Amino acid sequence: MLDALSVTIVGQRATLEALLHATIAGGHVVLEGPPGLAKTLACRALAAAVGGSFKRVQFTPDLLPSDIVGTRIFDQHSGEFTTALGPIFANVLLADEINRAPAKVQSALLEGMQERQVTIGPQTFPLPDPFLVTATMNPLDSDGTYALPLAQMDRFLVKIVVGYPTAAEEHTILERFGGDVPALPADVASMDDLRRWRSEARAVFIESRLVDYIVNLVGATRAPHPYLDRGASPRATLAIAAMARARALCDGRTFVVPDDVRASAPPVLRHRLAFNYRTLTENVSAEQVVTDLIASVPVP
Amino acid sequence: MDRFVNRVAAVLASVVFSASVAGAQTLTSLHVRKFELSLDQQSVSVGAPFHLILTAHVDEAIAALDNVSLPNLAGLEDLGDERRCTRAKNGTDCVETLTLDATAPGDRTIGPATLAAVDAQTGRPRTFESNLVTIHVTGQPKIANDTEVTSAVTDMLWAAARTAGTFVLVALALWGLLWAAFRRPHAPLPPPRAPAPEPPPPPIPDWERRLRDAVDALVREPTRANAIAVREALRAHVGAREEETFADLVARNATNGRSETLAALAAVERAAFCEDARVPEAIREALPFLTH
Repeated sequence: MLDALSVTIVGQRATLEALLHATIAGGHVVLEGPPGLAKTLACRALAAAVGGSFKRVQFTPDLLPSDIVGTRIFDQHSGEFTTALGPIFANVLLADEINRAPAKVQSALLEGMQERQVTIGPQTFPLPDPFLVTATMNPLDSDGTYALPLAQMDRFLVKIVVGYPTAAEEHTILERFGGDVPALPADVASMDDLRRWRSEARAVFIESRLVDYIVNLVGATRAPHPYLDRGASPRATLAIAAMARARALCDGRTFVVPDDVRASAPPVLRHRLAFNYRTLTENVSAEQVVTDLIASVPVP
Repeated sequence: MDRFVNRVAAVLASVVFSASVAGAQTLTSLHVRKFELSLDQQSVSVGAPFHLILTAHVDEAIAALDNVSLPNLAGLEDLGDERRCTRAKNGTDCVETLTLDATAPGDRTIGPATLAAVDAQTGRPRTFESNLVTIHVTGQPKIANDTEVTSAVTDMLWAAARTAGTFVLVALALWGLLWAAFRRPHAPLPPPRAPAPEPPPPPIPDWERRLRDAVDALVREPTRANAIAVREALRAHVGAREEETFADLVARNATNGRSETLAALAAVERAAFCEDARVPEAIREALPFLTH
Protein backbone atom coordinates (compact mmCIF):
# COMPACT_ATOMS: atom_id res chain seq x y z
CA MET A 1 0.00 0.00 0.00
CA LEU A 2 2.77 2.41 0.97
CA ASP A 3 4.67 1.58 -2.20
CA ALA A 4 1.57 2.30 -4.28
CA LEU A 5 1.05 5.63 -2.54
CA SER A 6 4.74 6.46 -3.03
CA VAL A 7 4.27 6.26 -6.79
CA THR A 8 1.92 9.23 -6.59
CA ILE A 9 3.51 11.01 -3.63
CA VAL A 10 7.27 11.40 -3.85
CA GLY A 11 8.98 11.29 -0.45
CA GLN A 12 6.78 12.18 2.54
CA ARG A 13 7.22 8.62 3.77
CA ALA A 14 6.44 9.56 7.37
CA THR A 15 3.28 11.38 6.28
CA LEU A 16 2.07 8.44 4.22
CA GLU A 17 2.84 5.99 7.01
CA ALA A 18 0.95 8.08 9.57
CA LEU A 19 -1.96 8.49 7.13
CA LEU A 20 -2.12 4.74 6.55
CA HIS A 21 -1.80 3.94 10.26
CA ALA A 22 -4.61 6.38 11.11
CA THR A 23 -6.80 4.89 8.35
CA ILE A 24 -6.25 1.40 9.73
CA ALA A 25 -6.78 2.65 13.28
CA GLY A 26 -10.15 4.02 12.14
CA GLY A 27 -9.50 7.65 12.93
CA HIS A 28 -9.71 11.00 11.24
CA VAL A 29 -6.67 12.94 10.18
CA VAL A 30 -5.57 16.57 10.05
CA LEU A 31 -2.67 17.36 7.75
CA GLU A 32 -0.91 20.63 8.46
CA GLY A 33 1.65 22.09 6.12
CA PRO A 34 2.36 24.93 3.72
CA PRO A 35 0.60 24.92 0.33
CA GLY A 36 1.98 22.75 -2.43
CA LEU A 37 3.16 19.81 -0.35
CA ALA A 38 0.69 17.28 -1.79
CA LYS A 39 -1.55 17.15 1.26
CA THR A 40 -4.70 17.07 -0.86
CA LEU A 41 -3.12 14.68 -3.33
CA ALA A 42 -2.15 12.31 -0.51
CA CYS A 43 -5.78 12.16 0.64
CA ARG A 44 -7.03 11.56 -2.92
CA ALA A 45 -4.39 8.87 -3.43
CA LEU A 46 -5.40 7.13 -0.21
CA ALA A 47 -9.07 7.10 -1.21
CA ALA A 48 -8.20 5.78 -4.67
CA ALA A 49 -5.87 3.13 -3.24
CA VAL A 50 -8.58 1.62 -1.04
CA GLY A 51 -11.20 1.93 -3.77
CA GLY A 52 -13.49 4.14 -1.73
CA SER A 53 -15.74 7.01 -2.74
CA PHE A 54 -14.08 10.38 -2.36
CA LYS A 55 -15.60 13.84 -1.88
CA ARG A 56 -13.82 17.12 -1.43
CA VAL A 57 -15.20 20.24 0.21
CA GLN A 58 -13.27 23.48 -0.04
CA PHE A 59 -13.95 25.23 3.27
CA THR A 60 -14.63 28.95 2.89
CA PRO A 61 -16.00 31.62 5.27
CA ASP A 62 -19.43 31.55 3.60
CA LEU A 63 -19.86 27.78 3.77
CA LEU A 64 -23.00 26.51 5.54
CA PRO A 65 -23.48 23.31 7.53
CA SER A 66 -26.01 22.13 4.98
CA ASP A 67 -23.33 22.38 2.29
CA ILE A 68 -21.62 19.50 4.07
CA VAL A 69 -24.27 17.30 5.61
CA GLY A 70 -27.15 17.94 3.17
CA THR A 71 -30.53 19.60 3.40
CA ARG A 72 -34.25 19.05 3.09
CA ILE A 73 -35.89 20.37 -0.07
CA PHE A 74 -39.61 20.97 -0.49
CA ASP A 75 -40.98 19.29 -3.58
CA GLN A 76 -43.82 21.41 -4.92
CA HIS A 77 -45.22 18.60 -7.08
CA SER A 78 -45.49 16.01 -4.34
CA GLY A 79 -45.98 18.53 -1.54
CA GLU A 80 -43.39 16.69 0.56
CA PHE A 81 -39.84 17.31 1.78
CA THR A 82 -37.08 15.25 0.23
CA THR A 83 -33.52 15.00 1.57
CA ALA A 84 -30.49 15.88 -0.53
CA LEU A 85 -27.49 14.20 1.08
CA GLY A 86 -24.30 16.28 1.29
CA PRO A 87 -20.72 15.41 0.38
CA ILE A 88 -20.13 13.96 3.84
CA PHE A 89 -21.65 10.75 2.52
CA ALA A 90 -18.40 9.32 1.16
CA ASN A 91 -15.77 6.91 2.39
CA VAL A 92 -13.13 9.61 2.36
CA LEU A 93 -14.13 13.23 2.87
CA LEU A 94 -11.46 15.81 2.28
CA ALA A 95 -12.13 19.01 4.22
CA ASP A 96 -9.67 21.26 2.44
CA GLU A 97 -8.42 24.21 4.51
CA ILE A 98 -10.87 23.32 7.26
CA ASN A 99 -9.91 26.35 9.36
CA ARG A 100 -11.27 28.78 6.73
CA ALA A 101 -14.87 28.03 7.69
CA PRO A 102 -16.48 29.32 10.92
CA ALA A 103 -16.93 27.10 13.96
CA LYS A 104 -20.60 26.50 13.13
CA VAL A 105 -19.65 24.73 9.92
CA GLN A 106 -16.76 22.88 11.44
CA SER A 107 -19.08 21.63 14.18
CA ALA A 108 -21.39 20.23 11.52
CA LEU A 109 -18.79 17.53 11.09
CA LEU A 110 -18.79 16.59 14.77
CA GLU A 111 -21.68 14.14 14.78
CA GLY A 112 -20.45 12.47 11.63
CA MET A 113 -16.89 12.13 12.92
CA GLN A 114 -17.85 10.66 16.28
CA GLU A 115 -21.17 8.90 15.75
CA ARG A 116 -20.68 7.96 12.09
CA GLN A 117 -24.16 9.27 11.35
CA VAL A 118 -25.76 12.56 10.32
CA THR A 119 -29.08 14.02 11.36
CA ILE A 120 -30.90 16.14 8.79
CA GLY A 121 -34.17 17.48 10.08
CA PRO A 122 -36.08 14.64 11.72
CA GLN A 123 -34.08 11.89 10.03
CA THR A 124 -30.76 10.29 10.93
CA PHE A 125 -28.65 8.78 8.17
CA PRO A 126 -25.74 6.39 8.76
CA LEU A 127 -22.50 7.28 7.01
CA PRO A 128 -20.69 4.79 4.76
CA ASP A 129 -18.38 2.32 6.43
CA PRO A 130 -15.44 2.95 6.49
CA PHE A 131 -15.73 6.70 6.90
CA LEU A 132 -12.66 8.87 7.14
CA VAL A 133 -12.36 12.65 7.39
CA THR A 134 -9.08 14.06 6.18
CA ALA A 135 -8.67 17.75 6.78
CA THR A 136 -5.90 20.07 5.68
CA MET A 137 -4.67 23.28 7.31
CA ASN A 138 -2.10 25.85 6.27
CA PRO A 139 -0.09 27.11 9.25
CA LEU A 140 1.43 30.10 7.44
CA ASP A 141 -1.51 32.13 6.22
CA SER A 142 -3.67 32.71 9.30
CA ASP A 143 -5.62 35.77 8.09
CA GLY A 144 -9.32 34.98 7.79
CA THR A 145 -9.09 31.65 9.54
CA TYR A 146 -11.01 30.29 12.50
CA ALA A 147 -9.38 28.18 15.17
CA LEU A 148 -10.95 24.76 15.32
CA PRO A 149 -13.01 24.08 18.45
CA LEU A 150 -11.03 21.94 20.89
CA ALA A 151 -13.87 19.41 20.94
CA GLN A 152 -13.41 18.92 17.23
CA MET A 153 -9.63 18.84 17.35
CA ASP A 154 -9.92 16.09 19.94
CA ARG A 155 -11.95 14.04 17.47
CA PHE A 156 -9.11 13.94 14.99
CA LEU A 157 -7.07 10.86 15.78
CA VAL A 158 -3.81 12.41 14.61
CA LYS A 159 -2.39 15.64 13.32
CA ILE A 160 0.32 15.05 10.75
CA VAL A 161 2.82 17.83 10.11
CA VAL A 162 3.88 17.78 6.46
CA GLY A 163 7.33 19.12 5.73
CA TYR A 164 9.16 20.15 2.59
CA PRO A 165 10.71 17.43 0.43
CA THR A 166 14.46 17.02 0.17
CA ALA A 167 16.33 18.29 -2.90
CA ALA A 168 16.60 14.75 -4.28
CA GLU A 169 12.87 14.20 -3.81
CA GLU A 170 12.12 17.48 -5.55
CA HIS A 171 14.25 16.34 -8.49
CA THR A 172 12.20 13.17 -8.67
CA ILE A 173 8.97 15.17 -8.55
CA LEU A 174 10.13 17.18 -11.56
CA GLU A 175 11.25 14.14 -13.50
CA ARG A 176 8.22 12.03 -12.71
CA PHE A 177 5.44 14.53 -13.15
CA GLY A 178 6.70 17.57 -15.06
CA GLY A 179 3.47 19.46 -15.56
CA ASP A 180 1.20 16.43 -15.70
CA VAL A 181 -1.40 15.54 -13.13
CA PRO A 182 -0.03 12.60 -11.10
CA ALA A 183 -1.87 9.35 -11.68
CA LEU A 184 -3.70 7.98 -8.66
CA PRO A 185 -3.10 4.42 -7.48
CA ALA A 186 -5.93 2.02 -8.30
CA ASP A 187 -6.91 -1.52 -7.29
CA VAL A 188 -4.31 -1.67 -4.54
CA ALA A 189 -6.81 -2.76 -1.93
CA SER A 190 -10.53 -2.80 -1.39
CA MET A 191 -12.92 -1.58 1.23
CA ASP A 192 -13.15 -5.17 2.47
CA ASP A 193 -9.36 -5.25 2.88
CA LEU A 194 -9.51 -2.07 4.91
CA ARG A 195 -12.25 -3.48 7.15
CA ARG A 196 -10.17 -6.65 7.64
CA TRP A 197 -7.06 -4.63 8.50
CA ARG A 198 -9.03 -2.66 11.06
CA SER A 199 -10.32 -5.85 12.61
CA GLU A 200 -6.80 -7.34 12.75
CA ALA A 201 -5.42 -4.14 14.24
CA ARG A 202 -7.95 -4.24 17.06
CA ALA A 203 -6.70 -7.73 17.92
CA VAL A 204 -3.04 -6.66 18.23
CA PHE A 205 -1.78 -7.39 21.74
CA ILE A 206 -0.56 -4.66 24.12
CA GLU A 207 1.37 -5.91 27.13
CA SER A 208 0.35 -4.42 30.49
CA ARG A 209 3.59 -2.44 30.96
CA LEU A 210 2.98 -0.76 27.61
CA VAL A 211 -0.54 0.11 28.72
CA ASP A 212 1.06 1.78 31.76
CA TYR A 213 3.49 3.56 29.43
CA ILE A 214 0.62 4.97 27.34
CA VAL A 215 -1.22 6.11 30.46
CA ASN A 216 1.97 7.72 31.81
CA LEU A 217 2.59 9.53 28.53
CA VAL A 218 -0.86 11.08 28.55
CA GLY A 219 -0.63 11.69 32.30
CA ALA A 220 2.60 13.61 31.79
CA THR A 221 0.71 16.14 29.66
CA ARG A 222 -1.62 16.87 32.58
CA ALA A 223 1.10 17.48 35.16
CA PRO A 224 1.94 21.14 35.86
CA HIS A 225 4.08 22.35 32.99
CA PRO A 226 5.57 25.79 32.25
CA TYR A 227 4.28 25.81 28.68
CA LEU A 228 0.95 23.98 29.00
CA ASP A 229 -2.44 25.12 30.22
CA ARG A 230 -4.17 21.81 29.65
CA GLY A 231 -3.19 18.28 28.80
CA ALA A 232 -4.69 15.56 26.66
CA SER A 233 -7.99 13.76 27.27
CA PRO A 234 -8.52 10.00 27.75
CA ARG A 235 -9.43 9.97 24.06
CA ALA A 236 -5.73 10.54 23.46
CA THR A 237 -4.92 7.42 25.50
CA LEU A 238 -7.21 5.38 23.27
CA ALA A 239 -5.78 7.06 20.18
CA ILE A 240 -2.16 6.23 21.05
CA ALA A 241 -3.11 2.60 21.64
CA ALA A 242 -5.00 2.43 18.34
CA MET A 243 -2.14 4.02 16.38
CA ALA A 244 0.43 1.76 18.06
CA ARG A 245 -1.63 -1.30 17.14
CA ALA A 246 -1.91 -0.15 13.52
CA ARG A 247 1.81 0.51 13.35
CA ALA A 248 2.59 -2.94 14.75
CA LEU A 249 0.24 -4.55 12.22
CA CYS A 250 1.87 -2.69 9.33
CA ASP A 251 5.21 -3.90 10.64
CA GLY A 252 3.99 -7.49 10.49
CA ARG A 253 3.69 -7.97 14.23
CA THR A 254 0.75 -9.15 16.34
CA PHE A 255 2.00 -7.31 19.42
CA VAL A 256 3.00 -3.75 20.24
CA VAL A 257 6.55 -2.78 21.25
CA PRO A 258 7.66 0.45 22.97
CA ASP A 259 8.74 1.94 19.64
CA ASP A 260 5.16 1.72 18.36
CA VAL A 261 3.88 3.69 21.33
CA ARG A 262 6.63 6.28 21.26
CA ALA A 263 6.26 6.84 17.50
CA SER A 264 2.48 7.18 17.82
CA ALA A 265 2.52 9.70 20.64
CA PRO A 266 3.59 12.93 18.83
CA PRO A 267 0.90 12.94 16.11
CA VAL A 268 -1.75 12.02 18.68
CA LEU A 269 -0.75 14.57 21.31
CA ARG A 270 0.40 17.63 19.36
CA HIS A 271 -3.09 18.97 18.56
CA ARG A 272 -4.63 18.03 21.90
CA LEU A 273 -2.43 20.15 24.15
CA ALA A 274 -3.33 23.73 25.06
CA PHE A 275 -0.11 25.74 24.98
CA ASN A 276 0.08 28.94 27.03
CA TYR A 277 1.41 32.39 26.12
CA ARG A 278 4.96 31.51 27.22
CA THR A 279 5.50 29.36 24.14
CA LEU A 280 4.97 32.54 22.10
CA THR A 281 6.88 34.98 24.28
CA GLU A 282 9.83 32.63 24.71
CA ASN A 283 9.67 31.41 21.11
CA VAL A 284 9.44 27.78 22.18
CA SER A 285 8.21 25.41 19.51
CA ALA A 286 5.17 23.38 20.44
CA GLU A 287 6.75 20.40 18.73
CA GLN A 288 9.74 20.64 21.06
CA VAL A 289 7.47 20.72 24.11
CA VAL A 290 5.76 17.54 22.93
CA THR A 291 9.10 15.86 22.21
CA ASP A 292 10.47 16.79 25.63
CA LEU A 293 7.33 15.58 27.37
CA ILE A 294 7.54 12.22 25.65
CA ALA A 295 11.25 11.95 26.43
CA SER A 296 10.52 12.61 30.10
CA VAL A 297 8.55 9.38 30.46
CA PRO A 298 10.72 6.27 30.98
CA VAL A 299 10.32 3.56 28.37
CA PRO A 300 9.32 0.20 29.91
CA MET B 1 69.85 18.92 20.01
CA ASP B 2 68.37 20.88 22.92
CA ARG B 3 68.21 24.00 20.76
CA PHE B 4 66.36 22.09 18.06
CA VAL B 5 63.81 20.75 20.59
CA ASN B 6 63.27 24.25 21.97
CA ARG B 7 62.62 25.62 18.47
CA VAL B 8 60.11 22.87 17.67
CA ALA B 9 58.34 23.49 20.99
CA ALA B 10 58.16 27.23 20.29
CA VAL B 11 56.69 26.64 16.81
CA LEU B 12 54.13 24.15 18.19
CA ALA B 13 53.12 26.54 20.95
CA SER B 14 52.54 29.36 18.47
CA VAL B 15 50.47 27.06 16.23
CA VAL B 16 48.35 25.88 19.16
CA PHE B 17 47.86 29.43 20.40
CA SER B 18 46.82 30.76 17.00
CA ALA B 19 44.46 27.82 16.54
CA SER B 20 42.83 28.50 19.89
CA VAL B 21 42.43 32.17 19.05
CA ALA B 22 40.91 31.28 15.69
CA GLY B 23 38.57 28.83 17.48
CA ALA B 24 37.47 31.52 19.89
CA GLN B 25 36.60 33.78 16.98
CA THR B 26 34.47 31.16 15.22
CA LEU B 27 31.96 30.11 17.86
CA THR B 28 28.90 28.52 16.35
CA SER B 29 25.53 30.15 16.84
CA LEU B 30 23.30 27.53 18.45
CA HIS B 31 19.91 27.09 20.08
CA VAL B 32 21.02 24.75 22.83
CA ARG B 33 17.95 22.96 24.18
CA LYS B 34 19.68 20.28 26.18
CA PHE B 35 23.18 19.89 27.52
CA GLU B 36 23.39 17.39 30.30
CA LEU B 37 25.49 14.67 31.85
CA SER B 38 24.16 11.31 32.93
CA LEU B 39 25.50 7.99 34.16
CA ASP B 40 24.37 4.54 33.17
CA GLN B 41 24.99 3.34 36.72
CA GLN B 42 24.78 5.13 40.03
CA SER B 43 27.10 2.79 41.91
CA VAL B 44 30.06 0.75 40.66
CA SER B 45 32.96 -1.14 42.15
CA VAL B 46 36.57 -0.15 41.62
CA GLY B 47 37.74 -1.24 38.18
CA ALA B 48 34.23 -1.85 36.82
CA PRO B 49 33.60 0.14 33.65
CA PHE B 50 30.67 2.52 33.46
CA HIS B 51 29.46 5.11 30.98
CA LEU B 52 29.38 8.85 31.40
CA ILE B 53 27.01 10.20 28.78
CA LEU B 54 26.96 13.79 27.61
CA THR B 55 23.77 14.52 25.73
CA ALA B 56 23.09 17.68 23.79
CA HIS B 57 20.28 18.80 21.57
CA VAL B 58 20.50 21.85 19.37
CA ASP B 59 17.93 23.19 16.94
CA GLU B 60 20.49 23.59 14.18
CA ALA B 61 21.64 20.92 11.75
CA ILE B 62 25.27 20.36 12.64
CA ALA B 63 27.75 17.61 11.88
CA ALA B 64 29.64 17.86 15.17
CA LEU B 65 29.47 19.78 18.41
CA ASP B 66 32.60 21.90 18.68
CA ASN B 67 34.10 23.69 21.67
CA VAL B 68 32.96 21.14 24.22
CA SER B 69 35.12 20.86 27.32
CA LEU B 70 34.76 17.60 29.18
CA PRO B 71 34.70 17.66 32.97
CA ASN B 72 37.70 16.90 35.14
CA LEU B 73 37.97 13.13 35.45
CA ALA B 74 40.40 12.98 38.39
CA GLY B 75 40.29 9.60 40.09
CA LEU B 76 38.83 7.97 36.99
CA GLU B 77 40.44 6.20 34.08
CA ASP B 78 39.24 6.99 30.58
CA LEU B 79 38.88 3.68 28.73
CA GLY B 80 37.26 5.02 25.58
CA ASP B 81 35.30 7.84 24.05
CA GLU B 82 32.65 7.82 21.36
CA ARG B 83 31.03 10.86 19.79
CA ARG B 84 28.05 10.90 17.54
CA CYS B 85 25.71 13.55 16.16
CA THR B 86 22.47 12.46 14.51
CA ARG B 87 19.84 14.55 12.79
CA ALA B 88 16.69 14.66 14.86
CA LYS B 89 13.29 15.90 13.82
CA ASN B 90 13.97 19.35 15.25
CA GLY B 91 17.70 19.75 14.99
CA THR B 92 20.55 17.57 15.99
CA ASP B 93 21.11 15.18 18.87
CA CYS B 94 24.73 14.81 19.92
CA VAL B 95 25.83 12.13 22.32
CA GLU B 96 29.31 11.60 23.69
CA THR B 97 29.80 8.42 25.65
CA LEU B 98 32.90 8.05 27.79
CA THR B 99 33.71 4.64 29.17
CA LEU B 100 35.41 5.10 32.54
CA ASP B 101 36.45 3.14 35.55
CA ALA B 102 37.24 4.36 39.04
CA THR B 103 40.61 3.75 40.65
CA ALA B 104 39.60 4.32 44.28
CA PRO B 105 36.44 3.94 46.37
CA GLY B 106 34.27 6.85 47.47
CA ASP B 107 31.81 9.30 45.94
CA ARG B 108 33.01 11.03 42.76
CA THR B 109 31.21 14.14 41.57
CA ILE B 110 31.77 14.68 37.88
CA GLY B 111 31.11 17.85 35.98
CA PRO B 112 30.20 20.23 34.73
CA ALA B 113 30.98 19.82 31.05
CA THR B 114 30.92 23.10 29.17
CA LEU B 115 29.99 24.15 25.68
CA ALA B 116 31.21 27.46 24.28
CA ALA B 117 28.87 28.83 21.62
CA VAL B 118 27.01 31.92 20.57
CA ASP B 119 23.58 31.68 22.16
CA ALA B 120 21.28 32.07 19.17
CA GLN B 121 18.52 33.42 21.39
CA THR B 122 20.57 36.39 22.55
CA GLY B 123 23.23 36.56 19.86
CA ARG B 124 25.96 36.67 22.53
CA PRO B 125 28.78 34.26 23.28
CA ARG B 126 27.94 32.02 26.19
CA THR B 127 29.33 29.06 28.03
CA PHE B 128 26.64 26.46 28.55
CA GLU B 129 27.23 24.31 31.60
CA SER B 130 25.87 20.85 32.17
CA ASN B 131 24.63 19.42 35.44
CA LEU B 132 26.83 17.52 37.90
CA VAL B 133 26.56 13.78 38.40
CA THR B 134 27.80 11.72 41.31
CA ILE B 135 28.84 8.10 41.25
CA HIS B 136 29.36 5.94 44.29
CA VAL B 137 32.46 3.71 44.02
CA THR B 138 32.90 0.68 46.25
CA GLY B 139 35.79 -1.76 46.75
CA GLN B 140 39.56 -1.52 47.28
CA PRO B 141 41.81 1.13 45.70
CA LYS B 142 43.22 0.16 42.34
CA ILE B 143 46.98 0.09 41.86
CA ALA B 144 48.18 2.51 39.19
CA ASN B 145 48.43 0.83 35.85
CA ASP B 146 51.62 -0.38 34.27
CA THR B 147 51.88 2.51 31.83
CA GLU B 148 51.84 5.14 34.57
CA VAL B 149 54.36 3.23 36.71
CA THR B 150 56.65 2.65 33.78
CA SER B 151 56.53 6.30 32.78
CA ALA B 152 57.29 7.57 36.30
CA VAL B 153 60.07 5.05 36.89
CA THR B 154 61.65 5.83 33.54
CA ASP B 155 61.76 9.55 34.30
CA MET B 156 63.24 8.96 37.74
CA LEU B 157 65.83 6.52 36.43
CA TRP B 158 66.99 8.91 33.73
CA ALA B 159 67.33 11.72 36.24
CA ALA B 160 69.11 9.50 38.73
CA ALA B 161 71.38 8.05 36.05
CA ARG B 162 72.58 11.51 34.99
CA THR B 163 73.38 12.65 38.54
CA ALA B 164 74.55 9.39 40.15
CA GLY B 165 76.37 7.68 37.29
CA THR B 166 79.77 8.44 38.69
CA PHE B 167 78.77 7.19 42.14
CA VAL B 168 77.75 3.88 40.61
CA LEU B 169 81.10 3.52 38.87
CA VAL B 170 82.94 4.28 42.10
CA ALA B 171 80.79 1.83 44.04
CA LEU B 172 81.43 -0.88 41.46
CA ALA B 173 85.16 -0.33 41.69
CA LEU B 174 85.09 -0.47 45.51
CA TRP B 175 82.95 -3.59 45.45
CA GLY B 176 85.42 -5.23 43.04
CA LEU B 177 88.32 -4.46 45.33
CA LEU B 178 86.54 -5.70 48.45
CA TRP B 179 85.38 -8.86 46.65
CA ALA B 180 88.93 -9.64 45.60
CA ALA B 181 90.25 -9.04 49.15
CA PHE B 182 87.69 -11.05 51.07
CA ARG B 183 86.86 -13.73 48.50
CA ARG B 184 85.37 -16.84 50.09
CA PRO B 185 84.38 -20.21 48.65
CA HIS B 186 81.02 -20.36 46.91
CA ALA B 187 78.09 -21.01 49.20
CA PRO B 188 75.52 -23.53 47.91
CA LEU B 189 72.88 -21.94 45.72
CA PRO B 190 69.50 -21.39 47.40
CA PRO B 191 66.66 -23.54 46.10
CA PRO B 192 64.82 -21.96 43.13
CA ARG B 193 62.09 -19.66 44.22
CA ALA B 194 58.53 -20.68 43.55
CA PRO B 195 57.01 -18.84 40.59
CA ALA B 196 55.06 -15.72 41.49
CA PRO B 197 51.37 -16.43 41.93
CA GLU B 198 49.11 -15.58 38.98
CA PRO B 199 47.52 -12.15 39.36
CA PRO B 200 43.84 -12.39 40.23
CA PRO B 201 41.50 -12.19 37.23
CA PRO B 202 39.99 -8.76 36.61
CA PRO B 203 36.73 -8.23 38.47
CA ILE B 204 33.62 -9.15 36.51
CA PRO B 205 31.68 -5.96 35.75
CA ASP B 206 28.29 -5.57 37.41
CA TRP B 207 26.37 -5.61 34.15
CA GLU B 208 28.01 -8.87 33.07
CA ARG B 209 27.23 -10.61 36.35
CA ARG B 210 23.71 -9.26 36.21
CA LEU B 211 23.27 -10.43 32.62
CA ARG B 212 24.67 -13.90 33.38
CA ASP B 213 22.37 -14.27 36.37
CA ALA B 214 19.38 -13.09 34.36
CA VAL B 215 20.13 -15.46 31.46
CA ASP B 216 20.63 -18.36 33.88
CA ALA B 217 17.28 -17.59 35.46
CA LEU B 218 15.67 -17.40 32.02
CA VAL B 219 17.09 -20.80 31.05
CA ARG B 220 15.77 -22.30 34.29
CA GLU B 221 12.40 -20.56 34.10
CA PRO B 222 11.41 -19.27 30.65
CA THR B 223 8.91 -16.67 31.86
CA ARG B 224 8.13 -13.15 30.69
CA ALA B 225 9.40 -11.72 33.99
CA ASN B 226 12.80 -13.33 33.45
CA ALA B 227 12.85 -12.19 29.82
CA ILE B 228 12.21 -8.65 31.05
CA ALA B 229 15.11 -8.99 33.52
CA VAL B 230 17.42 -10.08 30.69
CA ARG B 231 16.21 -7.20 28.55
CA GLU B 232 16.98 -4.72 31.33
CA ALA B 233 20.45 -6.20 31.87
CA LEU B 234 21.17 -6.02 28.14
CA ARG B 235 19.96 -2.44 27.98
CA ALA B 236 22.22 -1.57 30.91
CA HIS B 237 25.08 -3.28 29.10
CA VAL B 238 24.70 -1.10 26.01
CA GLY B 239 24.20 2.04 28.10
CA ALA B 240 20.54 2.59 27.20
CA ARG B 241 18.98 5.60 28.86
CA GLU B 242 15.54 5.21 30.36
CA GLU B 243 13.86 7.25 27.62
CA GLU B 244 15.51 5.29 24.81
CA THR B 245 13.67 2.66 22.80
CA PHE B 246 15.14 -0.16 20.75
CA ALA B 247 15.00 2.04 17.63
CA ASP B 248 17.01 4.72 19.44
CA LEU B 249 19.69 2.20 20.35
CA VAL B 250 19.89 1.06 16.74
CA ALA B 251 19.99 4.65 15.51
CA ARG B 252 22.91 5.60 17.73
CA ASN B 253 24.68 2.27 17.22
CA ALA B 254 24.70 1.60 20.93
CA THR B 255 26.04 -1.89 20.34
CA ASN B 256 29.09 -0.52 18.52
CA GLY B 257 28.35 -2.68 15.49
CA ARG B 258 28.13 -5.92 17.48
CA SER B 259 25.42 -7.71 15.52
CA GLU B 260 25.02 -10.49 18.10
CA THR B 261 24.19 -7.96 20.83
CA LEU B 262 21.71 -6.26 18.53
CA ALA B 263 20.10 -9.59 17.65
CA ALA B 264 19.88 -10.47 21.34
CA LEU B 265 18.24 -7.13 22.11
CA ALA B 266 15.70 -7.64 19.32
CA ALA B 267 14.96 -11.16 20.48
CA VAL B 268 14.32 -10.22 24.11
CA GLU B 269 12.23 -7.26 22.95
CA ARG B 270 9.92 -9.80 21.28
CA ALA B 271 9.91 -12.07 24.33
CA ALA B 272 9.16 -9.17 26.68
CA PHE B 273 6.16 -7.79 24.79
CA CYS B 274 4.59 -10.56 22.70
CA GLU B 275 1.33 -12.30 23.55
CA ASP B 276 1.31 -14.54 26.64
CA ALA B 277 0.88 -17.69 24.58
CA ARG B 278 3.91 -16.91 22.41
CA VAL B 279 6.31 -16.06 25.25
CA PRO B 280 7.88 -19.57 25.52
CA GLU B 281 8.43 -19.69 21.75
CA ALA B 282 9.95 -16.20 21.74
CA ILE B 283 12.27 -17.12 24.61
CA ARG B 284 13.36 -20.29 22.78
CA GLU B 285 14.24 -18.12 19.79
CA ALA B 286 16.09 -15.63 21.98
CA LEU B 287 18.20 -18.06 24.01
CA PRO B 288 20.74 -18.92 21.26
CA PHE B 289 21.62 -15.22 20.96
CA LEU B 290 21.87 -14.82 24.74
CA THR B 291 23.93 -17.91 25.48
CA HIS B 292 26.22 -17.00 22.57
